[in-house]
Amino acid sequence: MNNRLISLALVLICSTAPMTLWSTDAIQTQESNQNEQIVAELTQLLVKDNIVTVKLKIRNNSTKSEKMDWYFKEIYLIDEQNQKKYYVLKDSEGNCIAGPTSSDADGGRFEFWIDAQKVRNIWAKLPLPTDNPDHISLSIPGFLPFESLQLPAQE
Amino acid sequence: MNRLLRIQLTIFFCLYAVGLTSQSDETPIPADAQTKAIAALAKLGPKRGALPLRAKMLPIVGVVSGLKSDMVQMKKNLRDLRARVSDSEILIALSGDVLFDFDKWAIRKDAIPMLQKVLSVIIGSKSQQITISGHSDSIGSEEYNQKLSLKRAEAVRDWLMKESKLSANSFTVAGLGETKPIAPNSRPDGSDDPEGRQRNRRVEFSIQTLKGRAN
Repeated sequence: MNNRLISLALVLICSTAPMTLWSTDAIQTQESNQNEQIVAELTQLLVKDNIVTVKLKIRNNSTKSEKMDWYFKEIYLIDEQNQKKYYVLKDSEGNCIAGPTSSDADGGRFEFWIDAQKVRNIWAKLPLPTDNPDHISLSIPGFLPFESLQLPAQE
Repeated sequence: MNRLLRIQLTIFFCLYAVGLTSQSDETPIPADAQTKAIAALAKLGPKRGALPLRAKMLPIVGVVSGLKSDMVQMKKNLRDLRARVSDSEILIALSGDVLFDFDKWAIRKDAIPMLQKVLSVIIGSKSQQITISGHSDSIGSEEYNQKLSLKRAEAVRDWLMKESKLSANSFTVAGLGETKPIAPNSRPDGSDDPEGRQRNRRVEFSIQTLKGRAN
């Protein structure tokens, strides 16, 4: 009886565990504009204290390591309705509130190799657009823009 | 424990292990990030740093023939060089192993086509501010690596000047030796990582663009 119960539990776990572990739950995915095997997955879009927090996974689907290199200061939100854009927030020392950074150069540089079939996570904090647009776009250097993103309600 | 149960346990642990290894290293957002962001936002005032979204338009002052083909060639060169183009600069990294023989700073003949592409990008960008930095792996003394990387950066600058009308004032040259690795020189167990070292042996070009200079 015990063995049967354990078996049943394992079957259930086996059927759901891989999904949980491997799922990306991406809100939207965009390709690199230099290498279509590199994709950025927007996995979180959170609004709190008039600040938009974004989390992304940079995924290397190719068979070799790829170098990614950009400055976080180049990340921005676009409010097309009101023709405005908002750059990533910077702290009192001029560093972008974003990461991970390979160096503090120019407010924070993202210069990393991503091995084949591996992922790097990034995050950034940006101002919530002032005019309450229905949708926004997010621009990440080197990738096609994430468009028509619906902002969630403030937490 | 019966056989079926053992098989199921094995499958479960295999799936779990594969699932774990396919995951990335999560980089948690620092605990003080939101506090810093609130302070940064307050500093920006009611407009929250909003900038007008409009493309900078340049006036057309003449008819330029072959512009389209130049643009196509520029894009191809940037793609071939795996250049990283941002608002303010174009970043290009060339492997030291392609440019130079071991322990030498004379440019290899095989590397000339690649350097010609770099030169085309520099000329196409109309940049007058180019930083060339040489980098090495960690084999050898720091002092030696710094000198070798500087000589290599200088050799590249000299070639670019020889092949163009660019003056020495347009270039900043640095030998950074082993101080700025982009990959590990050794593996976690302390053994040599030749692939990582190969990545670290490089010459980087930072080409400041017009837009970057305006900021």
